[in-house]
Amino acid sequence: MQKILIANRGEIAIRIAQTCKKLNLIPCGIYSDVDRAALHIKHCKDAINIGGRLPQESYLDIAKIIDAAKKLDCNAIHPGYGFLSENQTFAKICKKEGIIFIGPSIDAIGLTGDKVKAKKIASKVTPVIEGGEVSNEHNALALSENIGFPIILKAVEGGGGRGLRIVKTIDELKQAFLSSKNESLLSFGSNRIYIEKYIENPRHIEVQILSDKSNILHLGERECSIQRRHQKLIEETPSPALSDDKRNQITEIAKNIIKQMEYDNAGTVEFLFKNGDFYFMEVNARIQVEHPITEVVTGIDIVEQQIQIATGDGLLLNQKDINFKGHAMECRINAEHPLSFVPYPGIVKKFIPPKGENIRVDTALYTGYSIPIFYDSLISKLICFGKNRNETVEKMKNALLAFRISGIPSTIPFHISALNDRHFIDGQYDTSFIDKMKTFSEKKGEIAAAIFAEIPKKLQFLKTDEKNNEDKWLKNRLDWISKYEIERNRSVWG
Amino acid sequence: MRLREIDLYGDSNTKIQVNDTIYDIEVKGEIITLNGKMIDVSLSGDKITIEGNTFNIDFTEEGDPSMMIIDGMLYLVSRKDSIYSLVNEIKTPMYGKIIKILVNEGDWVNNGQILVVLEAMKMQNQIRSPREGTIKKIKIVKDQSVKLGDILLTFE
Repeated sequence: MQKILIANRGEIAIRIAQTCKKLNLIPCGIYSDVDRAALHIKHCKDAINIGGRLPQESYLDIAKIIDAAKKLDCNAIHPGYGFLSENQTFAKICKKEGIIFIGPSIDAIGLTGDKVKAKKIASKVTPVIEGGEVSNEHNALALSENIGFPIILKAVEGGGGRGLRIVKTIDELKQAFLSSKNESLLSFGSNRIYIEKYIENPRHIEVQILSDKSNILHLGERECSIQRRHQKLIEETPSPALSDDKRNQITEIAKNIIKQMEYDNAGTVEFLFKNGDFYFMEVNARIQVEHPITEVVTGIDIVEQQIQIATGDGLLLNQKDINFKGHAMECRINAEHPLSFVPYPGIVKKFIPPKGENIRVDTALYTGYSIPIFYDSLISKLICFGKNRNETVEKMKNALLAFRISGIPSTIPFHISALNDRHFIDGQYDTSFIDKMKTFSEKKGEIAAAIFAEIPKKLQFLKTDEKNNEDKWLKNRLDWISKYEIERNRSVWG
Repeated sequence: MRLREIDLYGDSNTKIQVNDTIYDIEVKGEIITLNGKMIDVSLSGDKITIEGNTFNIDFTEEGDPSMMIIDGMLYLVSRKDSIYSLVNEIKTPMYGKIIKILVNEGDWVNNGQILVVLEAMKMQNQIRSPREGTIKKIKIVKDQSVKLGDILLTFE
């Protein structure tokens, strides 16, 4: 294996490129028309413009990606997360074309991708939540009445919170069923929907697995209960909710499920946890956004292990080689309005991530970058490590305060508020945390009041009109591209 | 940075609410008095120095209330003595595509009623009415791409 095509963009493409370089593999990339100035291109030795703007025209276009792999002479593809990472058709085509797909086998992707089938297999070894697939409104109504409200609608072939709808009463069901179906079709190209009994305010805990079928090992759990709209915002490991007994129990269950599924490569088994009981949710057949916290406490490079397993050599590690040290936490910083969480693309006026020991920032942002509207709103992952949870929380608070992003709003105020919340500090939280949380501002409002009074008087220069801003941005972008072209011509990539 | 469009008031005495607290601010030329105490304020780029301490103004946005992110923390700010005026135009809060229009011209809508569904970043976002009233003109069509600040509809 020499050249690897990274069929993704943003921070995860950069993350994968870094491991490739470490392993003396050559990372290659793709980019869409709106990603001409994207940072991941710079981290690849070669990158091809595959055109398009929408995911369907670019990072989801299998033919274009296979074509790019051939043109760049890549013999393996790493799909990252999202996009084609759990697309069985894509894995099949890779195989047909003689390209190694860095991920689970075709069968394993098919099985985990069908949430109903996956649940059935998991039910052999652990309790699962009551429910089933529904093909129309009539079936949905009958099953919901049978298991009792509240229920939750989910995409059979989906994940990541898209297509999810919580339905509390019978009147809401029709509208929710239709919109869940539409969103699922839009996001995953499938309108298959299933219904589950809704477990109110659970904790969300998942187990990271590495498997080559003959050898299955776990890298501990991740606590992911801080969510809004079923999308994770803060993750930590170890979970403050688990005793050692419970931790042993869940990691063993997870390994057992993986074994039953004959699953290979890196994967995550997700559970809900309530009143001391675990309920299996699904297996995510990809590297996950929150993988860095596991890497930080175990010292294992998960991308490296993925490549190792996929090349056919299998795992070189055993469970006894995995040692857990300290506490890690990740804040997902999104380009969103901090109160409404409405995505907010735009031009990044300033981007200065915090630096320091035990601080890791996975990002593809830079000053002058324009966040396109076509993709995810995740702009940075801030990961902190400490000897224990208290030390990690303190480190994270300081890192968040030192993080400068301007030009666009971000979820940093949310994260600062969460980390100052008593329930979070005590580790006593569940998925309802965000609804109950209060906004925190450390400094006195006098500062804000003074700025408010002062800005209109003196800050004329801050009042740039949209047009002017766009021109400036375009110039920056062109400067950046030409600089980048020069660098590429000099072959500075090492 | 899109900044609230307010009059450059000269000498003024005003009440400003920040989160849950109300402050008295008096501006006389270069001198700012806050709750009766004179404070030293100077601005440089996106940094503001108040009584010798410097703060970063990360983000500001006009609204009711206005929003400020200062050193990563959120402040909601509004002038308490300003006369509240009704919004007559609904503007898009973000770039995206109109996927649904749920009202017609001439319709009476309630405060909080969903007007338009906008898709951006793979999410469907509902735009709700900030007031009650009759829709005068709908300025967009289904499947239209809109940019931040485009007028969606107007009220009578």
